[in-house]
Amino acid sequence: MKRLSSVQRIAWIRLSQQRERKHLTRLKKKALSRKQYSPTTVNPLNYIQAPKVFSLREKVLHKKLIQFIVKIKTSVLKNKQRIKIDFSQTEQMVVCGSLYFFAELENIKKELGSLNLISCTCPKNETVAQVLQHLGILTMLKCRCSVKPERDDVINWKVAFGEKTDATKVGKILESQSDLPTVKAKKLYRGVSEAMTNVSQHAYIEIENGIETPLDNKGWWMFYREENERIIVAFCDLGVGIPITLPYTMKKNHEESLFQQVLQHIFPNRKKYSDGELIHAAIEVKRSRTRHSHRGKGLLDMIKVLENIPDGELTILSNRGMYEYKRYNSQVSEKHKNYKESISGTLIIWSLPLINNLGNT
Amino acid sequence: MKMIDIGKDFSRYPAGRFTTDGPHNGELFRNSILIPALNDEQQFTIELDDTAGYGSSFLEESFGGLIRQGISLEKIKKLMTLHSDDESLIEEINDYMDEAESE
Repeated sequence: MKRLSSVQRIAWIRLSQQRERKHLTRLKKKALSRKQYSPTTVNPLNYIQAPKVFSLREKVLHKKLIQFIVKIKTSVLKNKQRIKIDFSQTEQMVVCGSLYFFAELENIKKELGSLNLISCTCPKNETVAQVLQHLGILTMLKCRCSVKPERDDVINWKVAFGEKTDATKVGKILESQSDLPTVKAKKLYRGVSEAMTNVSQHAYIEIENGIETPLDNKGWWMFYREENERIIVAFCDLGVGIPITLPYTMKKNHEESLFQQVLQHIFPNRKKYSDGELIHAAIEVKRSRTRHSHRGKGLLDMIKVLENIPDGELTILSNRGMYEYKRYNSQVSEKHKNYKESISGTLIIWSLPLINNLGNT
Repeated sequence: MKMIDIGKDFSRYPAGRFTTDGPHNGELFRNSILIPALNDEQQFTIELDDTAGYGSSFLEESFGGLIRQGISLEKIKKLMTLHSDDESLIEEINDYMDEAESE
């Protein structure tokens, strides 16, 4: 074997060292990449399937939407886990369900400071994608979906939200609808501004032994939409709910005994009342006692929106209860029902025809 | 006669009962506009129609609240005239003042 000179020997040693260093770097990189993709060490992205229909009215759809929201909240707020919402199966965004989803996302954002833990897939359904884009939900979830909201029934969705009873944006939305008669706009303004006042005064308080403790994260959200010649206005808060505040506000307004009488009259021989029954009875109390109490007229304002408007509908969902008031010409029908899951808040929906003889001025 | 137009002199978007509720509430309207007008001892008209609408909390606190502040219904009726194309609105406000008087 040929002997190496001292200079060659040094060069050879350096080259070996260099090769060794490169080999070690390659091994480190390989180990690191294996670690990153290892199922045991990585926090896998948790896919949550969004419901087919975003609605809260029908019991089955109500259950699916609430379960979806609970999954998101548990993953993000409790487990601090990253999630990806899969909208691939979603085919319909109904106002009530969409508003509730929007409000819950906003609430998560307030609580965590951002929505960085939540991302989503681009919806396959074109209309759903346009609605989510138009409402800003895809942007909130940093989804790079190129869909442009163009459909008439999508771009007429209007959004307002806030914390205080400042109805400026709501008023501007209602006034800017050229199709909406002034009388109806003023009636809707009455209902929404009163719902806002209710949020400010009762919705976000914890009551224990008669002591009120204000809760953080106050907020209300409103959607306006025109659909099939009807105006839909939905208003939502994520407070403690009417069935919780009701006994307390009744006591405060000296309407406690009247409330009990009404409950026993409408639902005799009962020891416990469902949330739906409590909301129904509260409306009845307000109707029978329009005088003597200068406070607590807000619930009645919700119904006043429909006064002299044939074919108007009001739906109040609060916690597990639902109350529905429908007016067809002079006929009024009322009903209530209950759901297994609670929305942990209140959702009020007005549905009015755009054109009719009495309100079209 | 002096004219107070709620939509122009106060807010086009009145809402809420108390100052803690929001910026254009009934308590503020009553204290900053109605009470000073009544203290002037001159007749005035309130124009109600140039707003986006009213909730009952705003109206009750503004007008019913005048009675609770110690101003007599007689004085209010002597000095203040309400104007609106919607008669039911004037009726509602008068009801609030009558109710406050009977409380």
